[in-house]
Amino acid sequence: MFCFLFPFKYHIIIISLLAYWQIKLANRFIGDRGCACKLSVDGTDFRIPQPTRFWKGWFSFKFKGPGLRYEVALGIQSGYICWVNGPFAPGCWVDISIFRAKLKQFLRPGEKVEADAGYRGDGSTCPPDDCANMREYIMKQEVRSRHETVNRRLKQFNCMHQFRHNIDDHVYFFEAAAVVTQLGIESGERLYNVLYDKLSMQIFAQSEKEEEMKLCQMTQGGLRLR
Amino acid sequence: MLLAGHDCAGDLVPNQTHMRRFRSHFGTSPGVCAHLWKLIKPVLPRSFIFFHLLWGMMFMKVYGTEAVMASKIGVDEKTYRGHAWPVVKAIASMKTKVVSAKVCYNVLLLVSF
Repeated sequence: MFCFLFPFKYHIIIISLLAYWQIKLANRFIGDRGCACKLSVDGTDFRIPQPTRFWKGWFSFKFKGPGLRYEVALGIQSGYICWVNGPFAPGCWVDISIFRAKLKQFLRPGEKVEADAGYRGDGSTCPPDDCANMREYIMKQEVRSRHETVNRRLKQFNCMHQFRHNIDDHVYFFEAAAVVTQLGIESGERLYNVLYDKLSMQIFAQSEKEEEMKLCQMTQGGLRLR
Repeated sequence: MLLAGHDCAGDLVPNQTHMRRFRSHFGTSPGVCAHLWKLIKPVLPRSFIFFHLLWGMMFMKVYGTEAVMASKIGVDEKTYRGHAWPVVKAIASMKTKVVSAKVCYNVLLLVSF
């Protein structure tokens, strides 16, 4: 019936409007363990051919040439792609600006995102050095490494790294690749699990303190023996 | 698999090699393709069939030129172009349904009050 009522050109718009209220960003709460960080965010660049009218804004430092930048956010516990945003000109838009422009508005009060060093300087982000001990640092590192595997999955499509069509069409390919990747994750091709929760942080912190205490005792004992 | 140029006649159950070949042509598993077809079928014209989804997937994964892809599939360039692009755009339109919908939390709070 839907097909008969409206012509084809309106179908995509109507479906998008219908799906507008399905908050897939809420996927970040799947398996929530009470941490402030529920998302891991990163920007990823894709190479494009040099646009005919030169503009330095297209320059991507990753390729030393023209590119487009997108923002991708994963749910830390579920590993689902919860957010994609773009395209942006990498010469003008750094990661933190893209984050502040949109995703930051959609976070809950007090909520943070796990991010790399490019996001340093904002209250809503947890950069790599924002950690209490070495184990927490490693835990955060694992989350960021897993994020790179999603970037790799997006780039397995040849259209994403040998793009040759109009720049306006790049977003279709990216969003299609994101949809296919997300469906793949949902239907069994899951990302590897990472241990990221408040409790383990506390346990790690406690165990680290205990180890330090033991070391102190041993050294003190050693000193005494001497 | 026939579209990918591999005949798996004789093998009742697709084995690992078949799956690898499928992935290298379409970028994902047959199960995901089937799920994707269910999603995009309502937004495509009625003349589109499941094979056209595979054309779109192959377009994304292999990303060959029109002449190469059309000859591989065995159709005219115009026919190929007329089916592959709408499929890619239809998959992209599923972003709000599958990946992220732009609903501001502050707006939701205001609505709830």
